[in-house]
Amino acid sequence: MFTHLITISPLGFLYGSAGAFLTPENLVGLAGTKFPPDASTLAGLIFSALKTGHLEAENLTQDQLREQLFVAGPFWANVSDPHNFYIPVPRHKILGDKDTDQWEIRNYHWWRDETTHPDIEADYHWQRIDTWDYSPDEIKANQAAAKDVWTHVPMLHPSLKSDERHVRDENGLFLENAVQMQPNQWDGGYDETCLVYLSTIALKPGWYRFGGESHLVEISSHELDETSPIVELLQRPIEDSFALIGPGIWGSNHLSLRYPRHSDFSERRPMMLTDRPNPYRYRLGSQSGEYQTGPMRKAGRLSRGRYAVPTGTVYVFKDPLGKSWWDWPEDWFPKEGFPLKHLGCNLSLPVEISRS
Amino acid sequence: MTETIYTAISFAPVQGFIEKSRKLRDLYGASGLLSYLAKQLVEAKPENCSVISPASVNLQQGMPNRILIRGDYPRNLAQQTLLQSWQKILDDSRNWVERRLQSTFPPDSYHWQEVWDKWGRYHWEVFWGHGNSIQAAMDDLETRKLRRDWVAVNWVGESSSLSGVDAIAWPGLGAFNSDPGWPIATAEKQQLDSFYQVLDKSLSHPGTGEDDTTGRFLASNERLSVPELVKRLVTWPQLAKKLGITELESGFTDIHRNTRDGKGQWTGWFMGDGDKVGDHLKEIAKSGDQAIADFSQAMRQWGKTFSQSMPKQKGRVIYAGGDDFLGVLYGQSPDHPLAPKAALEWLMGLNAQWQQHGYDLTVSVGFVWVSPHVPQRDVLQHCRQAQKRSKRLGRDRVTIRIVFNSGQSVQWTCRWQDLGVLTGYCDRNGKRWDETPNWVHLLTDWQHLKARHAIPVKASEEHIDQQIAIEFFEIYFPGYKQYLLNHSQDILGNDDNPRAMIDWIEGAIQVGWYLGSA
Repeated sequence: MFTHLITISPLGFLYGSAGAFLTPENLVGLAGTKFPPDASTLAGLIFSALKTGHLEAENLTQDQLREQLFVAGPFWANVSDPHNFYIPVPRHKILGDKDTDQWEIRNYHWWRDETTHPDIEADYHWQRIDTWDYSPDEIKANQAAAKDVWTHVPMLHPSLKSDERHVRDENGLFLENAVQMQPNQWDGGYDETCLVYLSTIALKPGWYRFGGESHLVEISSHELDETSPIVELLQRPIEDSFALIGPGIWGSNHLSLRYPRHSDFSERRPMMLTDRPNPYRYRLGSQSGEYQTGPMRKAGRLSRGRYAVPTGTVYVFKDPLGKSWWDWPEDWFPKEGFPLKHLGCNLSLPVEISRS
Repeated sequence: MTETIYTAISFAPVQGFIEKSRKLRDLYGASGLLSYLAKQLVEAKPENCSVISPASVNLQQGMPNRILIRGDYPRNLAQQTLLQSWQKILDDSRNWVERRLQSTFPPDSYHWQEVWDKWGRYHWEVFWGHGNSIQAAMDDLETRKLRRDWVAVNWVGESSSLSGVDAIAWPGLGAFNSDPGWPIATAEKQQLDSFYQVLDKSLSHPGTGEDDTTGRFLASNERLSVPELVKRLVTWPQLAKKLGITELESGFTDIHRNTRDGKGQWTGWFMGDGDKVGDHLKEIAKSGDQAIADFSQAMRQWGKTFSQSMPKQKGRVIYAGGDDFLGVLYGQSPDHPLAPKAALEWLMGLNAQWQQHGYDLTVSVGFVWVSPHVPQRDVLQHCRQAQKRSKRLGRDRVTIRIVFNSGQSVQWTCRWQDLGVLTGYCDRNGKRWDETPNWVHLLTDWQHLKARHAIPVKASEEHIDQQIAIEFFEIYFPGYKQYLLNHSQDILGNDDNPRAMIDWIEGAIQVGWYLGSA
């Protein structure tokens, strides 16, 4: 089971794009924005922290770490209260600015009363973990719903010559879509925010370079003991319905699917509330250090490109699983390289769907 | 008598398929493919079915991808028809490339067929609904759509910013499937590069002598994925003819938004669709099948007229089918760019043009006036966001967004009838719209007021007073103070924060300054 929360507070900006680089000819780049970083980015940091002695557990070998490391996320929290972090809202709960609604199952079909809520849109995509079991109205009443707490800011960077402290003659400047964490505003005031990940390995507190463009962040690890409500929630067995709070990666090495084709999972295809897939790819072991771009960049191993079922997706199926995500067998997950279960893929929590 | 059965069919992705385009040509390719596939679906209907919508099946262009059938059109038939038609396009495109390049790339150098076949099987989601009324069939389709129906093709090896996230198509694709981790070897990279150079050479634009990067059919530095290569290829006249896809008009040229010497022109992009069309259809459906067919016919006729009415030197309608449309306004070349004022005046007439379909249906539009270096993919996303904003604030509106090279933008959302407010501008010398007024007067005064905090700057300030802003507006737009006060609720729509009026005025000032100046 996850034993730690790792919080990441940017010192200044974080990076906003996973790879899609902006050049003088292409100064914008809405298409390339991706934030917050996937759990794999943190896994990469933990592997490099092993080499530099920044893990709290000492004397681990690389192989032991490979076996023991599980990470999941991304989530975020108010700095003052990291244990009560925000996770994706399951899609059957619709939290709008003015109104709320909920999908139910009637006669084996998804149903909601569109006459009373004709125009409702899901404006909030995050909710505090302590309100996981609440109805949409209760979530709003507790001010536990939130929108993204980061904004994209274009930033101009110099690109230096390798042997002089001078900007390169050509393409000496490039623009980056940086990301700024914003305070989380609520009626009583506002709080500074940080990113949160779940992990089985703790990092020593301190400043690290994080993510593809290696901006400085402050990291600390918070222990989760066995009685923590988070651990309790994560251990709760999933019966016949659940929602994804991590990217859903199913399928083979050739194809990405919406649910695993595995007889232990479910004989029948599940009822789902979902959306179009997101591309999912990770890089492990990228070289930190001198900042490089373009083809010069020394990169680590790039995984197979896959497509993920978006977080918040709800699954309802016939046969109860009776197992929490933690106990799901690894052969439900695609197999290749670093096991995807270790990267928090398909991390799910049980949900209650009203049926009639 | 058995009761009448209705079938509704649709497929996806549509928006994503169109928006991933790199060039104007790709937009036509994508929209042509969508129309072509919809047409195949309609034509494959079983004997005892009749098509309610889309009307005028014989016109392929602008065919909407939502199909309503009276009768039982089996789900499997719909799926098979779509996938087989798509597979045929892929096969023909692939064979065409292979044959065209056979002197440099002999048949045994291709290892990519399996990847193409996978794209054939897994690119589209088909949605289908069934019911004993049109409404029931459409509702059934919507319910089934909630669980989506995608299977996605994984990729290994190289992808580029141009291929999107998917792998770059080249003959060796599929030969090295074992190890995703490492970049492809130098020799393979050379083969990939040479493939695109040879393809580029083979497809140099016939007759026009275009050598500018953006004007070529395929630039040698472009790297496309399988679906994007197909979008591009189906606009090649011979191939389009062979496939039966509507060809581009003769003498089609891409827009030169920017050129190698750093020159470029601003362009205007508009995307719109009818408001609450679903509710409208429900209403019409009560009057029977024929009423829906008539509506569909009217919309298609409107689309056709709309496309034809656009003067070719000024812009193009890329698609207008059913109730939605996308198009672009531009000048003939970077040396003869379109004046922003001309674009704005065209936009002022758009709503009247929309009304010509004769139904009581309003339209929400996103209009983006964009600097030359913003990539087309981003422009389309800005369009979509702007259009969404129009819908969110209450529909029957246009959102004008001006996007700069830096990616920053300013925007203004107004009702169609308020767009004309801009023509009420009167500068300090008393010059009005037709006399080329100086918009700098307005803008500098506004900025002074802001700098002195006479106008609240931050949304979080405690007492937001709109009065100064409204009085200021009256000075430069005489007669509009009372109008703003009387209609503020309608003007601002669902934007009910205390800053809304100030933002609206600021939007009008900025948009007026950028677009109203000649």
